[in-house]
Amino acid sequence: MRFTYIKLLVAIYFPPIIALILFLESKTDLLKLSVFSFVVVIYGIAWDMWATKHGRTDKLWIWRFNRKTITGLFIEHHPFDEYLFGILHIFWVVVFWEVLNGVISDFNFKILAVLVLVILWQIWVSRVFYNSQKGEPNAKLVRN
Amino acid sequence: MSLTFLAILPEIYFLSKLSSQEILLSFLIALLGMSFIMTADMGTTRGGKTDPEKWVWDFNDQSIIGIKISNLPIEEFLFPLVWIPLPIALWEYVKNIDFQTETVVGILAFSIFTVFIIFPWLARPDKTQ
Repeated sequence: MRFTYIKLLVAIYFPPIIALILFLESKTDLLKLSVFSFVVVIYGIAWDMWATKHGRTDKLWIWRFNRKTITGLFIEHHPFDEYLFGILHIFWVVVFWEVLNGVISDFNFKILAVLVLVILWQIWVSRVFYNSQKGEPNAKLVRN
Repeated sequence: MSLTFLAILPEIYFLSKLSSQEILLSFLIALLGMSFIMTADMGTTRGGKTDPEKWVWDFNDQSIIGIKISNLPIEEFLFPLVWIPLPIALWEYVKNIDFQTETVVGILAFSIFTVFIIFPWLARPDKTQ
């Protein structure tokens, strides 16, 4: 199904990030966090590009993407979806960390409940997605 | 697999700058993250080549060590153990640094250079099928 990857990303990361931002302490610099996420993703993507590089002349590749289930947008031959995943993931990690630190330094049951709900939401979405992806287990890959 | 271990080296360096409580917390978040990232990951590889409308990515059996859990290479389970504590440690390292505007511009410029010079080299046109 077209856009499978981006739908999964939006469902699994967007609501938690928005919920967590609402409970971030005001001292957290969101602009700095955005620049940080962008820069970290740039270097993380370099590894992804190497890992997915393949073709008739390449000896090694580690994984590859199915063009039928991604957006079809590419930046330097790498799926846009993968860049989005990197940015959302890094952003989620740091925002979760900052909110958790806030709860530890100044206990607030409401914010702790939000953290628990965020994780439960992500587990639930991933489980629903997994169940929707019924099919046969991967057959052994044959090189193109 | 060896390259996955290379990613762990900067993680060890930056984690060493955290307190033991912060290290424990970062790995607690990694375990929580693992619970949904791995389930979603199993979903993206589910279906396999028998159902091209379902799978999102597929692993090359020649490039992995071959041990799988629910059809997912064991190397994949290292992802949350690296890409959750590492950004936390990096963020803790940079968040209190008062960067000069020139430094931020320099970092962004180098990142853009990476995008337009290093990436095209990594992503040669023949890589996509």
